[in-house]
Amino acid sequence: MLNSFNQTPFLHGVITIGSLILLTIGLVGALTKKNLFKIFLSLAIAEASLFIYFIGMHFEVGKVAPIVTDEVTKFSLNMVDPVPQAMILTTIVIAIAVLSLALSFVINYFKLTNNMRVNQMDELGEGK
Amino acid sequence: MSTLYFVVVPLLASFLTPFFKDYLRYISVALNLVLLVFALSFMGAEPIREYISFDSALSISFVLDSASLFFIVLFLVIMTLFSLYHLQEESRKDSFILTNMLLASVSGLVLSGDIFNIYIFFEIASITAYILTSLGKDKKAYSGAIRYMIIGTFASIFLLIAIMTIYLNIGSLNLATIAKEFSSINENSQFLIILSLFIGFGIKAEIFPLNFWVVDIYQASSNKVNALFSSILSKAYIFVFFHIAYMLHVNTKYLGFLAIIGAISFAISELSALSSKDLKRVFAYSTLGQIGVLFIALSSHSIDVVSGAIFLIALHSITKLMLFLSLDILEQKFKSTSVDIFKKFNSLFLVVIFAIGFLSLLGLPPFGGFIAKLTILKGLAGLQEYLLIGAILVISLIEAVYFFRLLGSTQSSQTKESVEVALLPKVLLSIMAIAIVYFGLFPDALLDISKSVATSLIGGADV
Repeated sequence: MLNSFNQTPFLHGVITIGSLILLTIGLVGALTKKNLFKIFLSLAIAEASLFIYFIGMHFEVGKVAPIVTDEVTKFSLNMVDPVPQAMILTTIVIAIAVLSLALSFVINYFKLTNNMRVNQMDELGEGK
Repeated sequence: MSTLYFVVVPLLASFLTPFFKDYLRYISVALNLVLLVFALSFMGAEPIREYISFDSALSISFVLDSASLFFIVLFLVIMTLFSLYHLQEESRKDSFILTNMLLASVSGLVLSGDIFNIYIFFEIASITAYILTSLGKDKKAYSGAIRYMIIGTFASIFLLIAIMTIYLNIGSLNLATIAKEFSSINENSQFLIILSLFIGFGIKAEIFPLNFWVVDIYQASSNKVNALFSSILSKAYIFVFFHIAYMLHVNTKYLGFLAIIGAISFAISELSALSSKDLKRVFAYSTLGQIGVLFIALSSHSIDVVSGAIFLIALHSITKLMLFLSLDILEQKFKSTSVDIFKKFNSLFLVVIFAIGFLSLLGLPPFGGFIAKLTILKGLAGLQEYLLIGAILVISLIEAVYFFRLLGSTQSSQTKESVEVALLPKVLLSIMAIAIVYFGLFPDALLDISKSVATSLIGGADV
């Protein structure tokens, strides 16, 4: 009976539902939270949900990672698709770069204004 | 000769920054000029499709057809003028690196033949834009940069959703393969892809209702940065968005929706500009308005109208560069960008420059903007889209109100301070103004180019 949990469609279902929940948490958090740190963390969660979904949907039971090792000597059909993995690796690097840049802006902004709440950022606008 | 140089050379120059020391500004001019000559050497050549890496299905591909070449040349012309304008100032490492990164990323955006690469260059361009916004290093600059980053991250999340849906359904990232297979995937996935692409690129291309943030960013950035945003960055995103839309042969009902969105964007931007008291915001609203017109024209999917849009892109880029650089001269004198400075300055040269810019944006003869709008309107008349023609004409009247009000205020009787314009900016601004008048009087050469660009853009899937 437990074996049915270890089937590809079931796992794909779990991953889909889980990453949808994470995406919702991220997007809702980014739209409702007022603290700048929390906004950027929410956006990071939303991005992470996409990474999990994309990698997870290309996972299949019985297939190995697309890495050549001592046992696996050549690329074969028994490997999962390597393209999403390469893609997500690149995307994670970009996401981290963007997040660290964002946090450095937040820190600099906080030093200048002593404010971290997005609804009190009133430097810009008509007549400012 | 490889198309890769357009991306690699600016990036390489950025890495070599420490070696250039005080010569950065000269290196910048030389670099842009060399790349411009290099780009012009591709004129009239057959479309080039270049694969980097081992296997065509998985590799990075760059496509240089007349559409992408036109945009590369346009960006390089703008960058050359921009770097020449910088000659009068101290060499700055940060602006050298960032302008080169911007050039590399927009070149990559228009050249890329696969959608994941487009995402990479999209992100590089975004990061560059965030840092450019924050260059002022004051409260305003950081506030603008943080807003830009929040909205920009939303854009990249939606673009990523589109790319993932495409890969899950089609199993390829290559644009040509996606174009072939797109009609065979189910309706719901198609809708999700188009919606995510619209949100992702719509935020960056500054189209209604996703453009509420743009004006604040323009207010936070310096005028020189705004010149780059308005004349290069938004144009690159618009090109990529419509390039993908044409390649996917999206349903005409979606394109009709884009035309309506464009018209609303045009109307709301021009109405907002009426009540704005800050020149940076006024020019930003005017950029948004022109982008609305571009969306109307580009979503028509007809070669005549699209060639008008290409003409408008070229003219608008030159005009906005000219206006923002002139505004920069005024801001250095008065330390303000309020509309009141138009009443205070005394310089016939700048009044003439502003007048040429405003009248060309309005689309009045004998300036280049007139030919652009005329071509678009004639094309729309051929398609019997009379409602859109009416919308463009009526909204242009609103545009006329604030532009003429600004021009009128230069003639006010208030006490004036004379503004001296140095020789170099004077020459550069004159060149741009003469170009605008020249394309208004002798538009045939540029119209022919626009037509071939439009043909290659619409038929892009066959390359």
